[in-house]
Amino acid sequence: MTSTTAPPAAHKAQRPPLRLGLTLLHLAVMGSLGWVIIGLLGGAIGAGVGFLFVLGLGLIILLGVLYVLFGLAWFEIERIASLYKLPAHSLTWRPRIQQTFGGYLKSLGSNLANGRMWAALGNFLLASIMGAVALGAFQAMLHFAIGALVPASNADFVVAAPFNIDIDASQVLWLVLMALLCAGVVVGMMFLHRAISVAIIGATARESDLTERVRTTTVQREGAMRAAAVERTRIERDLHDGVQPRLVAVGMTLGLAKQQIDDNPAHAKDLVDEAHTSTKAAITELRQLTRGIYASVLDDRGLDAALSAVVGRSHIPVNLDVRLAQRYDRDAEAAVYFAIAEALTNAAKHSRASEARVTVRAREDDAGRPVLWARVEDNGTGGAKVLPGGGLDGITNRVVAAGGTITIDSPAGGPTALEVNVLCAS
Amino acid sequence: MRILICEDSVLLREGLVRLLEHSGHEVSAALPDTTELMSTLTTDMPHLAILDVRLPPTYTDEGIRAALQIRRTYPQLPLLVLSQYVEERYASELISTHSPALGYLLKDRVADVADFVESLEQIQAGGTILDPEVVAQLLSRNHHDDRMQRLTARERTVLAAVAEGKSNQAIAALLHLSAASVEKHITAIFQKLELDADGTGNRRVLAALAHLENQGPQSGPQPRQENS
Repeated sequence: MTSTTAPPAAHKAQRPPLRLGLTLLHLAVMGSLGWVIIGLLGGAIGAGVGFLFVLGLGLIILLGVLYVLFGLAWFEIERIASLYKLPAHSLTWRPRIQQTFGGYLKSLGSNLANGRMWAALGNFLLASIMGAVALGAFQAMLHFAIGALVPASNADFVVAAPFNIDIDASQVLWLVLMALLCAGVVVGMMFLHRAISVAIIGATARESDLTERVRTTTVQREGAMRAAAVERTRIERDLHDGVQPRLVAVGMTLGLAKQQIDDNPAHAKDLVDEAHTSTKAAITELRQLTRGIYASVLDDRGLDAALSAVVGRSHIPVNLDVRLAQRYDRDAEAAVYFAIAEALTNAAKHSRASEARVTVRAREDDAGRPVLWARVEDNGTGGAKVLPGGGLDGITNRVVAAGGTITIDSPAGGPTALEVNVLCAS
Repeated sequence: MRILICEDSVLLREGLVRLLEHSGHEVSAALPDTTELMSTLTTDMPHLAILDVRLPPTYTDEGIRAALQIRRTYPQLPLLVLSQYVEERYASELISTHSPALGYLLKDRVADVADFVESLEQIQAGGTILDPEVVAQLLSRNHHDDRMQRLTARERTVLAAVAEGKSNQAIAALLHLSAASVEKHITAIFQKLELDADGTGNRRVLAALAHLENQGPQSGPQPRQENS
């Protein structure tokens, strides 16, 4: 039994709903309209190939056909995904990477080589065939059924049966059996359609799902690495610009005081005073710097307690409103903590806000998983931008690395609002 | 007075010993961690104990837990908790023991030797001294209580000073007010917060702190005064 460990989405994919009525409708449409489309496409391809050597006109037709094929494949995946509730991603047009004609041709080639598109088109063709068979069987079933019922009801009308079979009372049983057989073919087509479609589209859906997950993981890892790099640079800069020169100055001042302590004790005393003040400032700076790296109270008392210190040392009044009933995993709490700290620093430093509000809540996402939600608002002048290597870039990377999302709404003129959602594992 | 020190950093521990002895106090014991703390207290009771918050083995809140344990066993022993960072939450936990003679200060404050030694003496005399940063943290929390909103900006400043353990005279000097107007502010604050205004000195501080602390989300569901 693996169903206990399988995620709910995969479990659903293994057992698509039956939805016989809808499937019948789909088959009827595919069996009729599908062939119209296939016929038109076949004609277009034929014309394209035929005109290939007439001023390249055929190329344009074939190009159009490619776009239509893509649209058809997209429609087919959407159709199957919605009919059987498969977690399939929409087919996406592979964009060109270089903005040149060569790049355009390359993008056409890569789209032409998209196996998922061809699988979907194959499914379209198969569904059309099954639809045609189902339609034919349905029609035959009606004829047999009506043929069987007409003599029984003694009604006085003639059915234009396609098989020109004399309807004889002795043949009624035979006709009923044929009608049942045709009905069986219709139902069989419905099941076959489900099995084939789910196999084809479902398989590519799993593949695209995995691709999507790999892509997300890559983005998260890159974000984490960038966040760490930004953080290292910031620490280095803060130490280099703040504490280090201050300590050098203290050393110099004390050196001077030592020289003058015998000749000019009054001046030496002033110098010692100055060094004392400077040392205290260095201690404060160092404390704020290390606090910015990690708040240990976040580990042992949680987000609420850690945020008290952040708002306590903010230069503008902050209204802190945290309502959390439980602890969350460390990465989620840390990501939210640093996002709020950075937003408040920005509010005080750049936005000329006079006050800010921090709200933190426990929420749930659509799937019912716990989400840590936070919002920081200020009444400043706005215009905050995510610059590479900047503070907002750092927290964006950090939040993304923790599997969260971040929205920054900061129009010029203000106000600024930052919203963070981090999905929690626990 | 005789003082016990529990601090893991050798430099700071020795520095404190030197500072205290230089100021005319006696250091009864200087411990690097909390393992022998309780047994040392049993054999040789000091007049005051200084504890660091982050101590071995985990370097998180050992000092706070030790302080709470001391408060339970020896509620009369004056305590000063020193910390690299001051946390409103740690302070709230200490205040919730409702015993006087308590201090919670940033380690930085040691640099102002005279002030630091004076704080020690106030704590030993039964006073409550909180770092201004803690008070700032307590005041900036969201108060789901209308009573805090009734205070004017000036009254909030005065309340912060009261919570730091300052006397009326000290508050008057700090805010450039007359002693009488400080008195008036404090009466107004205690009326607006519906607190017992009779308390003076330390009881007054504790009342103000308990009020602030009660606003925290950890104290459970808030009684909505206006609805009852």
